[in-house]
Amino acid sequence: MKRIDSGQRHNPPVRIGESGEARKWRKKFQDIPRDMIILFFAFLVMCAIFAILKPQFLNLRNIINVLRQIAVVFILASGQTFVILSGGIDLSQGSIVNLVSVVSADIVIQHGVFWGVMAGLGAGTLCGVMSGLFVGKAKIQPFIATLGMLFVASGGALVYTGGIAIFGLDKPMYQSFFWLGGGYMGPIPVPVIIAVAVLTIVYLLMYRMRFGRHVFAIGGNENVALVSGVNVVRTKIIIFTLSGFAVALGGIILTSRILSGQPYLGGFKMLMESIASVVIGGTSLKGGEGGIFRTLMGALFIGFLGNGLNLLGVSTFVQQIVIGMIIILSVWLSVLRSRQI
Amino acid sequence: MINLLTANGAQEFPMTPTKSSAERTPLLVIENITKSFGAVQALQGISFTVDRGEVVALVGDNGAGKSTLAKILSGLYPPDSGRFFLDGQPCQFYSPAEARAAGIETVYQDLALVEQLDVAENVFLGKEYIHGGVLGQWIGWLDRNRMRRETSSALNQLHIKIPAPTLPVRRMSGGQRQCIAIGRALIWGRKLLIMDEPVAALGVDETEQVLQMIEKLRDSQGFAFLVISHNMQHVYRIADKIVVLRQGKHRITLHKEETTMQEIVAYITGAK
Repeated sequence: MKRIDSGQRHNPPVRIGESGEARKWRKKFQDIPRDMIILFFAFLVMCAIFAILKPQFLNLRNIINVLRQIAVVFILASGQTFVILSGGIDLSQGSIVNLVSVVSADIVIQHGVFWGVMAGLGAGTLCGVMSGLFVGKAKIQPFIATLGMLFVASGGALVYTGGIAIFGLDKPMYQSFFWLGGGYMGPIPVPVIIAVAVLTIVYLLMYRMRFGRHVFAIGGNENVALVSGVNVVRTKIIIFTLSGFAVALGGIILTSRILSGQPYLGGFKMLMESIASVVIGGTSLKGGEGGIFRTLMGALFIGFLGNGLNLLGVSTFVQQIVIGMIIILSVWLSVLRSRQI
Repeated sequence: MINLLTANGAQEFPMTPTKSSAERTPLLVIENITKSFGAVQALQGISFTVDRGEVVALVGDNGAGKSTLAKILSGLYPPDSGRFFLDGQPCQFYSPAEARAAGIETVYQDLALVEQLDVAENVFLGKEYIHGGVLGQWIGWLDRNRMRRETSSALNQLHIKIPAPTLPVRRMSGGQRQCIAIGRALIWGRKLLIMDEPVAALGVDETEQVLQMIEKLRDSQGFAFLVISHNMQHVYRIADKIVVLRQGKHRITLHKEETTMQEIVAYITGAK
């Protein structure tokens, strides 16, 4: 059970002929959990196989396209990462995408792009705040609270539009709205740039700010966090608020990409891909273990896997089976890891 | 911030207690505290005092109410009735953070550390150093280097050996963890340290280390300790005063000079 070499692992012995700099880097490398390295190599092997079978897999256009798709999943999954790290789960993400989509599309048409984006972000964030209050203040289990929010948000989206989609965004005056999901800055799609910004902010929040440490502490042992004076209620409210905001951002990008407000836009698929990214990355559903780079790897894995299988002509039905098996495999990997330590 | 962290390296425990008249008043006065959980009367009117530089052992059989009392003092539960005073000031804590701010630190039996966080993060959990001016305060920008540095130096002063302050606690042995938990309480505690079975999980050497640490801090710094323990040898060795609880009632307060281990056990079991 116990790792006997844990002390040495942290301070690798000096090798003859090795510079201090090289030793420093070796130490850094040794601190990377082994399952993450395995996942990374699995990703490389997978990409190599696809590249050999279908050379167009490596086309720059293809890669940029996949990255654009991954961007939205990753933005949702980054919010999900905070929730899962704190020991919870946010089931409402997919249906909040629906609500954000119809609200933002409607307000863009009525009041312009700026207010449309603001309304979309507001709607998603508000759903997050409500989940956060239910989980933090009312102490309802996250599974139940967000299951309720799942129905509330998807029902809300249907009520808002009467069940039909909102069209009319494909006019030149809404060009700047389309730019959010379909535009480019240089060769790079705008959603990818937004995703990189999200990654940076989440990294800083998670590792450099007090909030992130409190998220890990709550996920690791909520009672210890409580007796240490961590404001658990406030932290949980912020966690779900962030998740709602991230979903709103992803929802707006998707809406902009398809230029219509769809009450069935997110649904089951977005939620499952968000959770799967977090889980395949190796973040533990028990909380306290994991991180944003794991989620990034999970999102890249799912995105390129789907793309490669598409190129090979594998049906989306079979793809689901493959993704399901990979989730189980990767969780098994992190179970092995937790047994090691 | 407390003296351990701001101390210069030359002196191990620089603060020496001055016995002025103000310090002769008890540090902690507990008056008639009661607490019920539903129909169970966990505490039925407990009163005693703890002086500065005194180690008070809280003993009693299972269910006597020791841990409940500790949790009230450290802000986890409010008492149903009764009051307690710290330094003559009446205390009413609504959260553990308020108790910590008032100078009461607690080492819990089962709630010591977050295994996933590293040593420095555990030591500073809930009291993180923030830097970066107004904006830094607002976003909670961590001063990680300062926390790591001060964790190392403070644990060194307490002779607690750890591999590195950046190592996650789960990679450490049970004894090391307990030492860090106690070290953390000692680093922050300004007035009173409550310890719930501080050495129950430790080996012989580590137990000795912790007991010596308690004695040293009591004698040199004037810290007060409230120690809950089932181990009569330890109680008899370190305690100046022994408070016996039985079934939620204060049975008796014994002074070490005037009692024997047999007598303490007799009061706990109800033979006396």
